[in-house]
Amino acid sequence: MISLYVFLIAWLVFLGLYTIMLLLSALQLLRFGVSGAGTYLATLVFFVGVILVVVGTGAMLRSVDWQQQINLFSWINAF
Amino acid sequence: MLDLRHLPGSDLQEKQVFVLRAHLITLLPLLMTALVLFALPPGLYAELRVLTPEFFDEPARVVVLLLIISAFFLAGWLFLFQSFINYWLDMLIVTDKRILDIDQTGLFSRTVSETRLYRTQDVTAEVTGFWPSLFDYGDLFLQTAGEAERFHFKNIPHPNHVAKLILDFAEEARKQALGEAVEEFGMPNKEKK
Repeated sequence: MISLYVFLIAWLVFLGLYTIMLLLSALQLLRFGVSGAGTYLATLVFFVGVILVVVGTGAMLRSVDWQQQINLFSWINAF
Repeated sequence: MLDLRHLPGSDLQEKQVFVLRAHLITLLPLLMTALVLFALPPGLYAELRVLTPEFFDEPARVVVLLLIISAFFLAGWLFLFQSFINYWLDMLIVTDKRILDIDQTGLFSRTVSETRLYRTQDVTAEVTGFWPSLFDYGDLFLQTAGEAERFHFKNIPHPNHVAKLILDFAEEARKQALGEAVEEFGMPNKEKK
């Protein structure tokens, strides 16, 4: 049995690394993408996409009891 | 509008003529990949609903599935963003003084090739294949004086038109460079034998 906290922490670690990669990518685009509406618009669109996914996930997981235990293999063993 | 101060080795008196990126149609495979990527999680969810509805009996499993789907979407979105960056930062810039070929091969890898416009000797446009002929895009090869290697710009829209424009600008740049040289050093004296 694994606590749901483990999955939450793994997701948050992923989100942290993801944010670093996203910021590095955006920085590269803004630095070398020569200033123009297209560059700023693309950056904005991608940031909005990320915010939508993260906020959407957060909203869906707001009421979750993270202390629940889960047995992932019980479902797999059923096959 | 391009800000020329951001160009490598920019000259304040330089004027931009045009900036070209690969034809938008070259983004089509990326868009198709994106569609498949983003259709996968809903597809997986629907399949689980139909084939193994008992999966949803335990709410904790659904939470884990949601976290995985969310991470998948984010990773896919970043993949798209970086592919777009590769497309967007790959460009051909022609100013009234020089030609720059910026080749982005990865997020942290780019090659900038530059040549003076007046050194341009020969420009070749190559359109091969069904889609390039249909959408009028292709490769452009540029030969400069004293350079063995040709500049190669891939998937440029309207390559024949661009080739003609570059040759016209190069001719103009040559006249200007000659005028400046004459102004600085005077007309060469031709000695009679």
